[in-house]
Amino acid sequence: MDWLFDNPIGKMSGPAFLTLYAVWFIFWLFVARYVGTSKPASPPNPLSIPLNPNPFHIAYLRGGIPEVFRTVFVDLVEKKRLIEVEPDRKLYRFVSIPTKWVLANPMDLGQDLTQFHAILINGLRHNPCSIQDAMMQTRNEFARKGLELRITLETLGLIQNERQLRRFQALSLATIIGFSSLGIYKLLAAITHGHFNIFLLVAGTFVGAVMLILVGQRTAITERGSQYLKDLRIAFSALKSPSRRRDYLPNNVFSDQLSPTVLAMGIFGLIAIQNSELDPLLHAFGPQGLAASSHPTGWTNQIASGCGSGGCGSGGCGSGGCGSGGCGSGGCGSGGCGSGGCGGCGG
Amino acid sequence: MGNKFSFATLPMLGVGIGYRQPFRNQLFLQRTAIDFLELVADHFFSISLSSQDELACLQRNFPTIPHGLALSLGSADGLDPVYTKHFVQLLNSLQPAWCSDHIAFTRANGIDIGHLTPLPKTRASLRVLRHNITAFQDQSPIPLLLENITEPFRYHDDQYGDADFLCEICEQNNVGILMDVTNLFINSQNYRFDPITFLHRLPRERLVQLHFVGARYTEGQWHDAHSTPTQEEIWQLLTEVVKYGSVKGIILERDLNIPDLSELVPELQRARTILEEFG
Repeated sequence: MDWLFDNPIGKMSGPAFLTLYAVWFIFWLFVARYVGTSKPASPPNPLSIPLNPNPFHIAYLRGGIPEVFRTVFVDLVEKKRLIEVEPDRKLYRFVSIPTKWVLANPMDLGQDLTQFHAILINGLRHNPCSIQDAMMQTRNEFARKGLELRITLETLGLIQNERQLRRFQALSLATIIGFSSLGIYKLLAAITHGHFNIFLLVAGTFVGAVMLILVGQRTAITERGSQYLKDLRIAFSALKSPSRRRDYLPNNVFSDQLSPTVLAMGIFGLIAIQNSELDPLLHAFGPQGLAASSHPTGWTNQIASGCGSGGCGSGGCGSGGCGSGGCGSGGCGSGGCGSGGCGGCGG
Repeated sequence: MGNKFSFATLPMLGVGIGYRQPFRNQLFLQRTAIDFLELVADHFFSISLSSQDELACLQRNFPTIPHGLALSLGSADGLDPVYTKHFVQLLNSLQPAWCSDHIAFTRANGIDIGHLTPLPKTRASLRVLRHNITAFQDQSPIPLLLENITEPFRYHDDQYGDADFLCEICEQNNVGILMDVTNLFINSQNYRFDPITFLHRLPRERLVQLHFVGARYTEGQWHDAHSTPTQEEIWQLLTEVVKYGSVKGIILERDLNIPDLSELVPELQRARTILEEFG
């Protein structure tokens, strides 16, 4: 078994190996980027904009359940079926507390609206609560109902289906394994040769894997889905501006049930209520809400994130190395490391 | 395009509007009233991303027909190669059922006139048209329709009558006719001829597309202002053209005084009824 570790790579000095590892990393970075930017296959013909666009479908396509929740919430506030509760100024004179919301009519069941509305109304039935609390309370039910939306969008080829998701997860995982295999091999070789100064190798592998995960993330939206969203944004660009929304007269699309605001929310997210009478809601959602809604991340690949937090960073060999400075450009130079290799590189 | 092309084989597109940006806000909410769009080709020559995205969005959602404003087929100094290149590129990307421009010139001796100018109805004009149309058709196989324009003046040395000139253009060049019913009405009023007699001299299979909009009467003359609802006389003439020709598409053209799109829907519906009943 000598050949396993007694070969040019197994015996390579620290700086040389780090250079090789950097090149190796760049190669896998390109692979991850390719995997991440490649859109899941979808029917080639574009989906035309329907006569009656459904804002909740669009919101789900744009950012998953959190976007559906935000759209429903804004819709209920606009319909004045949710009202803000004035905080007790005496009690909370010096601290800022999140705005709380309550049903305007406690008998409201929301049955004349969508099931999402009914879920949220039900969640707010008993106590006034903040948006964040309402989201937490209703998230399971939203997720259950969201499954129907997901299936609809999958059927239309707008988001990737389970098979495509599994394939992408496998590719993503293969990218990370492909990159770290060289590092792990070198780690074993270093230990076999009695070099335990492997901190930089472990840290490099961990950081590299995390970077690959970040670079390789992609949304679940298919090419057809992105094109559809883009078309909606172009077609209804005027809806984004609250002042221009007033130009939209009620017609065959808009009614008491579907307002221009809720369609704008579905298509553009919270940014659509900026500078409108609903603007105070933005504060209630918080800056993160606005940011998330404008640049939705709800669709980033969950398996990739999962791997980042658990799988790849488990080496835990932080001890024993030469610290963060040890393998710097100076320390790892020809003088510093010698044939024994650089302390932190396992060489 | 070979000389054997039959305009009868072109698809029926129905009734639509000349797309202008202010319409976009409501375009998708009035889709049931709009079968197809006529795009001013010149507006989409830009390579800006937003313009290309808008074009792609329109193309994905409606059948689209590009309509040129400044091909200047009547220019004695030939086609503008840059304009023609852009036009052909647009045709290649849209692959429309047909395309159109005007029987006019907008450029002379390299100077852009900025207006559709009528041609003298002479053999020389026919030769110029033939040269330019052939040059254009050599670059694009998309069927070409030519539109009649309003004539604010006429030349003393015309060698052809209105209908004969149009027939000669069609025959010599294998092009179809985009009959602007409003322009026909205006010319017939201003120059006092019978538009129906004119109409019945044209090759009916080449009458492929129509334009219509209201005309404006000021200072004893009718003008093509693209700014008013269609008058009853124009509706009657449009009905006659539909009855006579083999019309595949009708476009309502509003450029000025643009109302809410919903206000134009009744006009589109009336045109559709005429096309369905008499087309």
